[in-house]
Amino acid sequence: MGFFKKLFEHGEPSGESSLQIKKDLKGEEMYVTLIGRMNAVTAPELSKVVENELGGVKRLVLDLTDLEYTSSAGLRVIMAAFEVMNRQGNMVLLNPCEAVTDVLDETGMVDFLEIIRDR
Amino acid sequence: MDDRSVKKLHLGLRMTGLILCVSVFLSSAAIWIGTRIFVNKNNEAYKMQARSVAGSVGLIADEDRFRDMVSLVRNIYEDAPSDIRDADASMGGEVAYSYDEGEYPSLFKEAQDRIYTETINKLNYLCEESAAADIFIWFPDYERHRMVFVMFAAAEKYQSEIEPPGFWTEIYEEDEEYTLSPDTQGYYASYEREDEVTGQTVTYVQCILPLYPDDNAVEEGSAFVTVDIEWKDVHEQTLEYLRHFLIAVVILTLILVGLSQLILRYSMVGPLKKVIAEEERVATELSLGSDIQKSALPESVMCHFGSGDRVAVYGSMKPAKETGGDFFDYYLIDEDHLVLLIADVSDKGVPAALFMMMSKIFIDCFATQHLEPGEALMRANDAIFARNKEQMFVTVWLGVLELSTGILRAANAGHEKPVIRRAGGEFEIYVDVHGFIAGRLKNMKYKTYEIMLGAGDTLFLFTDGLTEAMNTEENMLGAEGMLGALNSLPEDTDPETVCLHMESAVRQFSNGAPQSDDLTMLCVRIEKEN
Repeated sequence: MGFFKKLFEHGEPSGESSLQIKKDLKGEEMYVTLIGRMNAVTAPELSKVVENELGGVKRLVLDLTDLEYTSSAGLRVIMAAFEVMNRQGNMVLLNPCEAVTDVLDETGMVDFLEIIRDR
Repeated sequence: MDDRSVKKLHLGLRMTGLILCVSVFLSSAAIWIGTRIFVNKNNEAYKMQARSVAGSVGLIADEDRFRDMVSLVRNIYEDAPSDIRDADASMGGEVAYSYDEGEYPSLFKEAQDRIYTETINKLNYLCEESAAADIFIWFPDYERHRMVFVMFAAAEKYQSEIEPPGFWTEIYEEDEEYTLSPDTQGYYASYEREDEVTGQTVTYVQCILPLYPDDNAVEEGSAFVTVDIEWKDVHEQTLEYLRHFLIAVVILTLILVGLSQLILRYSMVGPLKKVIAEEERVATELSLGSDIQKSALPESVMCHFGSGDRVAVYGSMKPAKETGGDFFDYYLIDEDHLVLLIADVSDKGVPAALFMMMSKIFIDCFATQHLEPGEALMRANDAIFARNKEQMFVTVWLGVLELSTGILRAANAGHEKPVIRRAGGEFEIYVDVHGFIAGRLKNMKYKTYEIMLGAGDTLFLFTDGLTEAMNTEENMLGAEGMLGALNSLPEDTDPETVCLHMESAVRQFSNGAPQSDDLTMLCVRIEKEN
């Protein structure tokens, strides 16, 4: 089944690079916890949340405490979320780790995004 | 023969093998069961035939006549000299001939009257007509364990088997003949005997019945009929049946194999071929796309610029898939100004490649207008932003090196910071003025900064495919890993060697883990004083 093998080879190296998304909607505030790694394979999961579930949300908190790493694909989704929330409320990033902060810094997104550290 | 046709062949072969196995198994089972049924049915039929022949023997002559004939033979037998009668019957063969050959048979001449001869003739005729091999009437001598023949008739073919009246053959208490009674539906046996003439094994079915329904074996004066029927051509018939059956099985199997191949071809191989063709088309297009993308970038050859070729430049791009989102370039916009460009689109594969081509054209368009790099990036950002529905973005580092002076003016749109090694020093990350990623927001400002590059200085630019290269344990090479690998090189290493060394460092670090992101590097070295 070389055909299927080839299909899989086209995909990302899967392994343990998984992303867990926990959502908690309280009234107009949505609290999203991201655990794991965000890359081209896992970012679309968050992308679905951004596209479909932000209706009526006034404040979005992205808890990045346990997000180990984000690739540019992840940044793209965070930017998309930022744009949606910029129109209908605001968005906060909570406790990004050093690796994530570096990327946010590198890409200049640090200048636009509201980052809160509570520990 | 490529891999796929081998697979296809295997599938066809396996299917054929399976059908052959199944048909061999089924036909063995069918032959076994069929033969059993055939033999059993034949046996049954011959038994019935033997029984009906045996049952009709009593009708050939009057009962009293038969009884007279039987008792006459019995009387002669019993009155015969005891040295003959009591002779050891076990010597040589079934019938003991331990008497003077002329004398004993002649004792029975008296019994062989006209009626006896007529009856024998009738029985011979019955044998011929009923296909029985032989018919004989006998009475038991329990004392000496014998069946003593009264009349022996046989079909013409079996006339040699005939025994004269008064001759006997042994029977034993365990034989069923011994207890044959009117309640018994008859005694049946089938046995095999070698034909004396042809030497072939012939199967017989035997039926023994009391001559008259009221007779009982243990009673005085009882007589019995034995009928032997040869299984005529039964082996021949079985073989013929098997031959026909096997031919039918072979034909059916061939039809099945042919059908399965057809089904395989039309229901599986056909669609599979389409999928494969489609896959090949996509692969061809991807490889064409990859070639087009590569041709949009400089070839990986070291180039020299400036008076006396004082500036050496080398760049390389290795996409993770066929096409990538990274790009780099370097080109002169006038005699003294060399544009240096490296960028990374926020995705991989075909979408990234398309976005990359668009971004590169916009950036090149403004970079060639002799604008400050910051200004060029600002305009390129707005241009890309206006045509970016998919919300992608690109990180860009754009620099313009003045070859005569070594002044590098650059701007950074969210790209990795450059790495610089000053002559005599180590590779270090140069913390530059950072702007926002390009293509996502309108009216972004990008500051132009200036770096003075002197003889012996090396500038190294890269994309995150380098620092975020992963090994099998999902650890990343990181900035430290990158700087460590860079600083292991001697100071006067040329740009090409730097890039090739870093490629092998990434390979070594990944330790077989697949490349997850495009890997792009651009290295510039001022080799001599102006």
